[in-house]
Amino acid sequence: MDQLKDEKIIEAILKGDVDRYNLLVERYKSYVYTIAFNILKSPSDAEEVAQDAFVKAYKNLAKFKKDSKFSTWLYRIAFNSALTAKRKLDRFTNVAFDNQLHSPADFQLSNNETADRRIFIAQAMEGLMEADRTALTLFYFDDLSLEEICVITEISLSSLKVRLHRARKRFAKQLQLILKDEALSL
Amino acid sequence: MKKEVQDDLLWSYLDGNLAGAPKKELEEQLERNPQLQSRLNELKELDSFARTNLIISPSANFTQAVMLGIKSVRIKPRRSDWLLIIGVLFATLISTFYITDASWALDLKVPLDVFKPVANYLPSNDVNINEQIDFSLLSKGLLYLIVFLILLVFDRAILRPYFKNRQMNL
Repeated sequence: MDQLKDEKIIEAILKGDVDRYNLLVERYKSYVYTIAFNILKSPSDAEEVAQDAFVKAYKNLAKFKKDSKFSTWLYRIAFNSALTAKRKLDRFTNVAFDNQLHSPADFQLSNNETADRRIFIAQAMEGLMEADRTALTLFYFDDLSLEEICVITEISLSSLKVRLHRARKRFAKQLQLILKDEALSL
Repeated sequence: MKKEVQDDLLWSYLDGNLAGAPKKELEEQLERNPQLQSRLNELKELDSFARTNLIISPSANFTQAVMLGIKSVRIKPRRSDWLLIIGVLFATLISTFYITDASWALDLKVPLDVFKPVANYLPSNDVNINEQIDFSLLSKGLLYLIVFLILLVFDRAILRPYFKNRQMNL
């Protein structure tokens, strides 16, 4: 059942089989959550925005044009929702989220090693600009092409390439430093 | 070569953005220089580390929360549904106009001057048309159309959602 194509699932949902939507949620929840988290930097806000993105996508499912992939469309909704939420949060609060980022408990992980790895990634990501962070996050999603990332982030291909090149270099540098420090502290 | 420039070149190589002579030159350097090869491997590993560990999972009850959220939401109607509603309103307006009087009195008085080029073939007096045209068939047809559309809207907007909700709540 899990191997059903997105289009088939959407067709079934539009015909009234609402429960099939959980297949799409299961399939894309981590990606949508990661996009939201990398923009908002707060697990609770990211969770709320990611859920909201799925509900928005469901509401507008009939309007989804099948000339693009469902995942691209969904990520775009998540990306825009997270940006809107961030703007609202920035306007009303001046809370620094950074301390929350380093808590393994925030990541809902199954073991300590994986938790550590994700914390290293989050720390390395912190040094990047928000736009670079989002571009890089989407770049590491396996099924997205550069053109699809352009559609989601609404930037040109040449700008994306420049952004990715800069972000990857900086990210790798940061990550390498963090990993070296960790290795030395063992 | 400066480390920064060297890394730039290696990233471009990894991304497949290097071609022709620069690519060939770098590949030759990689064969000759084990340090450069080791740096390339390092970058590859960092990239793969990020790729496999970047995705974060939300809370365990995430899917459940979304499914609960969508139960109270209705999918926005498609454009075709709106067209149907507009069609019903339009048909209602037209029919109300015609049903009030199923016949039309057509009274035309056309002066003969208008038909100068064919005047020889027409009677010498002005043409007078004074006929009652029966539109009862059209109004009946529109009436049936309205009933059909109303039933269709009733089915889509009320019956189907009602039974779907009942089915989900069982």
